[in-house]
Amino acid sequence: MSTHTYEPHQPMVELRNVNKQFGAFHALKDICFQVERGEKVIVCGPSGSGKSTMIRCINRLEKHDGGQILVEGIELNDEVRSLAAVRQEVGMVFQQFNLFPHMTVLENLMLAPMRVRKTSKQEARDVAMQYLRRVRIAEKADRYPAQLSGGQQQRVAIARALCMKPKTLLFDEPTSALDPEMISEVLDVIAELARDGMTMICVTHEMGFARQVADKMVFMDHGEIVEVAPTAEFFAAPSTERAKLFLSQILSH
Amino acid sequence: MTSMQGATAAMTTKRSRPALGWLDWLLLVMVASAASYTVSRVNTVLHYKWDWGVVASYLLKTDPETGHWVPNVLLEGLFTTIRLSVWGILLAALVGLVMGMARCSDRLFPRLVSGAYVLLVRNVPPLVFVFIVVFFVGSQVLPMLGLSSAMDRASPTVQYWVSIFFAPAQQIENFVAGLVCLAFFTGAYVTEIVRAGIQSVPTSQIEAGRSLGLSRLQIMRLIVLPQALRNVLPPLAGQFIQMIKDSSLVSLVSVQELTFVAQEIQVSTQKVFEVLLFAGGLYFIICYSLSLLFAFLEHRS
Amino acid sequence: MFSWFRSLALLLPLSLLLSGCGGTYTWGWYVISPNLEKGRENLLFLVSGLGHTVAVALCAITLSVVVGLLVSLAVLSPNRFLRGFGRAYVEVLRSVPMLVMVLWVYYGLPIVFNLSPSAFTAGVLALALCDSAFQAEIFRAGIQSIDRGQHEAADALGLNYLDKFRYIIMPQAILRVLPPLGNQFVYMLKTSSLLSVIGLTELTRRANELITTEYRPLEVYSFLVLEYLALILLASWLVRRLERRMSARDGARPYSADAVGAAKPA
Ligand SMILES: Nc1ncnc2c1ncn2[C@@H]1O[C@H](COP(=O)(O)OP(=O)(O)OP(=O)(O)O)[C@@H](O)[C@H]1O
Ligand SMILES: [Mg+2]
Repeated sequence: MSTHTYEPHQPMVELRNVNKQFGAFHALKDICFQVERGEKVIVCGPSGSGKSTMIRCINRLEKHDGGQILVEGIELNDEVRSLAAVRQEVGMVFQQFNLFPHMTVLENLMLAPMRVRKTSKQEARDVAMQYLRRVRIAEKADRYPAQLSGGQQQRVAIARALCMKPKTLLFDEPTSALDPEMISEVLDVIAELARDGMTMICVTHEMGFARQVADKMVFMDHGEIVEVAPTAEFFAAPSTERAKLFLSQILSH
Repeated sequence: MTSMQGATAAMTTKRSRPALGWLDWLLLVMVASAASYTVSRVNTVLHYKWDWGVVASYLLKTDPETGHWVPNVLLEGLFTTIRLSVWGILLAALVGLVMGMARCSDRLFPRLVSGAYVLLVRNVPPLVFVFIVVFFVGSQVLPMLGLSSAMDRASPTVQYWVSIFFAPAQQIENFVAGLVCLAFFTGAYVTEIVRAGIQSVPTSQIEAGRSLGLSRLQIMRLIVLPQALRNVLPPLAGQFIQMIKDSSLVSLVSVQELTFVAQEIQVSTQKVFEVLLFAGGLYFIICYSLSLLFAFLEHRS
Repeated sequence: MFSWFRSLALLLPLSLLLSGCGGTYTWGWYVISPNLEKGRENLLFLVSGLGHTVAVALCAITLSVVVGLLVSLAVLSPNRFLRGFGRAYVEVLRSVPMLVMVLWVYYGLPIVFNLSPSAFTAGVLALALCDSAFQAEIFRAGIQSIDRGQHEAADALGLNYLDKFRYIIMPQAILRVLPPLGNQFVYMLKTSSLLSVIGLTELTRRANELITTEYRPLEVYSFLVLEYLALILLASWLVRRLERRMSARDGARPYSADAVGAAKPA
């Protein structure tokens, strides 16, 4: 079912009528959308609208219970092999960083390439250092996560995800746990990745950043996708009332 | 922790039950072969004859005079264990409550006495404590009190009821010594639990009580203890279950409870396996039902 | 720690008081008097049980940690048979009295498996079996206390179940289970006294042997209590020191054994 039939225009990530329920609570309702190769999608919406749930379904940290999710044409289901394949292609950056506290920064970065991609130690170290330089934190390679500031930890977390050479990156509110003065150092790194052509799905409330990097805005409310629009259009004139209200609230302060 | 629970709750609601996988079968086969290996060792290789009839015959017997079924030694032992447990729990709770309140007292002397008590008991093996108490209480104090001679002089009805609630007249001294042992041993642990419970009640509660003009005892009784009780219920449950298990220790000073009886039967019949397995099973039933009871109580409060 | 010393100071006059009230009992401290040849001999004899007490506790805790860890992994595994087995193991073994287990292993195993373990082996086995149920609960609580984000990060990186446990979860859980594990060791030192019943010559057995020859139970038991007090307090102090050093180094948050339903914390 999940064979790579050649499609001239295969989307990177595709959600078809995805549903998700927590007990009696309907968290995702018939979610449909596509992300093309190299596209940057920003997801926004009020708290509890299901943004995290949706993005977590894409690498199966949550299991969806209806519809289909395809990543590079591979369908996500109970099959272990397709799950492993998808998780190698999709990286994730968390709100709370989730670095491994008992490992140094370098060890955090080298673990997955060595254990999952089976690269040699030397190569894993080279790749790790390369990405650490890229997020401008190479000098902290031998520190432990607890010795870094929040912004530095989040940049390490981004480098850790990059070390697996994923084709798509998921960000779930990457700057929400940061002190205000550290937000920009993280956003700068993400914007740089965006310029280099990484496919991204990012949940964030940073509307300035969204305007700068997004190709497409997705607005969610009450578990539904209310509006999908090109960035400029979305900010200039949202077509739905709910999006309008949301934007006015979030931009007013 | 709560998010974790939320996640597992969500996981269990949505997890569909798949058919048996290969790992399941492997496990089943492994368990089955281990079990059959043990049984075959017992049965064929060593010609060991299972004889659960022994257990049954020591459970019940017919009274030669009346012809009725009456409990035999094994069941009597079980009853003694239950009596020890029930009285032990009550007494330990009392000791623990008093000592725990003393531990939190403003005065130095009660604090020191209860501190010394807890220190001594918690840092000495239960068995050693049993030996000491039984030698001291059993051989020095109880004879002084004249408990067993008082029992001898008592009327048959009194003797009857005492044997129902405590122990037959000829065993009463042993029983009381064993009981005192268990109660004071467990009491030390209960003391610490009570202390932790009392200290878990915020001081603002006490101040509120004071501002209402309540006396110190009233504050304890009406405000602190009821709140503390909710916090101490889970560790208390664990402690009481531990006490039931510890009650097997007094078999070593000739209190004729379950372990004592089981060992006697085992020596006289050589059926170690069945008898001790059965005794262990009984302990499991008692402890497990008590833990279910406490879980229920905790759920309700 | 300091308040313990004050309590200890109170114990002395208290025990003197008791000895005064002893009434019919006349004390005979000569049996363990260090001033007499015979007393010194007896003292040495009593202390000679220390080796077995410590050795049996060390062996048993090692074994029970290994078994307890495996059982806790079974309890936490996604496979429902393993889970059921783990739960049953814990529930049954933690409600069987240690004494019954000791007797069963020492007298029962020879019959079934045709091997007759020494008192030492049987003791280690029995202690470890009973303790492994508590050990399993300690490990389970320790593993479950690891933040959910750690699991998610490992999953998102594509680590498989085994690698996740080996590299991410266990190294962090180990730090958190060390304090309750230390308490279990202290508890083992205490329970090892039960092995006197099957003839292992540890501290309690030595005391009982001396009593049968000298018939001075209260004096000998008093000394035995002092021996255990010294041993257990020393062990708890070491455990607490280790705990402090570990938590200082790794910033790991040690949690109390009560919270995980362990056996009596020392
Ligand atoms: N594991 C869970 N169990 C039960 N309900 C859950 C669970 N996870 C999320 N929910 C519920 O699903 C809804 C959507 O949650 P989600 O975390 O996706 O919202 P969100 O849009 O990311 O909000 P925020 O902006 O606050 O992060 C919420 O109402 C939440 O209470
Ligand atoms: Mg969210």
